[in-house]
Amino acid sequence: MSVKWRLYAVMGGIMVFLLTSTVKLADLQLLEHPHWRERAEQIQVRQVTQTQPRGSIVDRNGRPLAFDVRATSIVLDNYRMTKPELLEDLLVQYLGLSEGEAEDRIYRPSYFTWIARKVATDTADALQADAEAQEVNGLLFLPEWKRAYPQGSLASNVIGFAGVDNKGLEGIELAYDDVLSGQRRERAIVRGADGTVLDERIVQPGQPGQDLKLTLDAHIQRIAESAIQDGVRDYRAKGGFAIVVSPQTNELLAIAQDKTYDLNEFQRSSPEARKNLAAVQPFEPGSTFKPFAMLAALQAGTVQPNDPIDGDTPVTIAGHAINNAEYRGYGTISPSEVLEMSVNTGIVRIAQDLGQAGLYTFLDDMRFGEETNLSLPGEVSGTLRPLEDWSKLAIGTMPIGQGISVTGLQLARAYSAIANGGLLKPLKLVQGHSGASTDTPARRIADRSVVDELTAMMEEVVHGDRGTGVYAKLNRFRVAGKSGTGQKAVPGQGYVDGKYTSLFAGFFPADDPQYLVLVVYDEIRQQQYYGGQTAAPTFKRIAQGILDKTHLRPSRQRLND
Amino acid sequence: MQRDSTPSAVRPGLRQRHWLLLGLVIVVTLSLVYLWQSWRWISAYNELQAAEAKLESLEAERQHVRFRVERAFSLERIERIATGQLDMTHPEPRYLELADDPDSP
Repeated sequence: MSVKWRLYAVMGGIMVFLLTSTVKLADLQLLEHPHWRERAEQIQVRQVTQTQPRGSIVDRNGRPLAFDVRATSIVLDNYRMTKPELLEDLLVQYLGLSEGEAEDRIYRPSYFTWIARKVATDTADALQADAEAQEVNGLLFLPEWKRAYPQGSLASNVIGFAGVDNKGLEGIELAYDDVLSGQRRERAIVRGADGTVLDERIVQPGQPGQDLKLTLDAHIQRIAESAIQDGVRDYRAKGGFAIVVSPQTNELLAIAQDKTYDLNEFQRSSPEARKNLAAVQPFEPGSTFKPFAMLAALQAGTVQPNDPIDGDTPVTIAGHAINNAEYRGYGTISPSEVLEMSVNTGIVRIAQDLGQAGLYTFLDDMRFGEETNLSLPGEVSGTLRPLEDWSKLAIGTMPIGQGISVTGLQLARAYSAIANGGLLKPLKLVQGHSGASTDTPARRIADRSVVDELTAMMEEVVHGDRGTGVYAKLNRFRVAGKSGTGQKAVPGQGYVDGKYTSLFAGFFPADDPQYLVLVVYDEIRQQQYYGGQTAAPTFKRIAQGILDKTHLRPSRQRLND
Repeated sequence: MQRDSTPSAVRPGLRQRHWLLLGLVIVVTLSLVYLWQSWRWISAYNELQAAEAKLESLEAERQHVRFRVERAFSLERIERIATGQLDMTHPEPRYLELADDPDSP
């Protein structure tokens, strides 16, 4: 072959190569462009989802009760794993797994095995560094948020907790989950072959959860929890709780109970400890209900403060005898003495004059039998039967707190209405957010002058010579209150001896109420089980603790005594 | 072959080459500036990413320290130490009564 033909052959080869390359390039760049772009993005672009922290929960003074801290979750890609024996040692050493647990998680056919959720970042960092140093592959470290509760068990029954997925599961954490939860942030990150970030696109901006400021006061909560826990132990009660309210604003300052649990270790808590007794435990209020029957009668004008009342026992209604405690007779007494000595027959006679319809309407106006506006998880409504379901006997049982069940929150709200001069207002647990709660407008349930008359009667319960609440008396502060001991009914057996609910509800200073405290004990197992003997001293301890903290001005009336 | 050496024949070619060269220099310079700018942008972006990661790490540490401090000052722990280790007790409240000033309005 001549040189000329060889040259043509080479040129032809080059032309064919160039033509083929051009065709292929055109195919790649034009016809198959979408396909290869998608493949390139699959390799280069990574969608990164970042969870945002939940909002913090603080008390009324800004003391943090719950907030998020960084944590690391550790995952194992079992197929990419190397040196499993070394890995097992590392998991035992850093994460405290048993050898069996570590083996179970390492030797399984999976691309994704949770090794540990929400480990402290310093522990995870140390494990990662050691694994890299020993060339142990397969571990993935995912940044997450973990809920932290710096006050431990304080107000655990109110705050509740968020689970491993940072979703609220109990208490405020559940009720206000929508407010507290953050929105996930999603970014698309474009990386070069060497891992360099070339571009970033925000797919979804996301945002952290909103903070919640509770009306609770951590100090008062602590005082109340300490008092109720000691009371349950000393009185050998099955359980107990206390509620503290600011009557002027109806803000809940404390919801304390004997059973609490460390929120940081919520997995170890019992269902019993997680109950918020003030919201979920209905009970018969006993004699703490008498002030409402009295108020209804005073407001209706069917009784006057100076009317003589027959306090002898018994009152017979529909063939049933209603007696005073220990079958005592009191002769003719005043309405004030009816409350002071908690005379069953006296209040029943007052209620008879008022009539069933009048009593029912008043109790219905007080919103007994309805859940409070707080919408706390598991809250029950208690029971106020409709008027048409009342038996003839109801007028003899309702005024003494039998045949009706209430929750602690309902009773505290009702007493708060007396303390603030007759306005039934919604309770507040969270400042600034309506969240799960449904606010209802304030409602006047009695005239101010009538409520003042009742308050004066309730002061005699504590400060009167024969008062049943004398153990609630405070040094230099006037207290208005009422004790109660409700019998407990057992299904199928009716009221059973030895099972009582012991209560005291009171507010102080009586002339300008700033604090309302309700104390409830369930099934005290000792000889002295009356509310005035057990709940009243606990009321005094909580009230004294509040006074030590707040330095209230003593009652003027008392100073002038 | 006789070469044409007259100035009028040389100048147009030279001028064209000068413009071509100048154009090439401008294109190359602009390309280099573009490449340098892109490199700087990527470099700065990666520095920003590293700084954000560092900030996040410091924020995580701050939250942990905050938790430890709040835990250390929790009311329950303070009370336990005060009553258990330091034998402290709750104070007895005292009140100072001030008589009303008869001259005050």
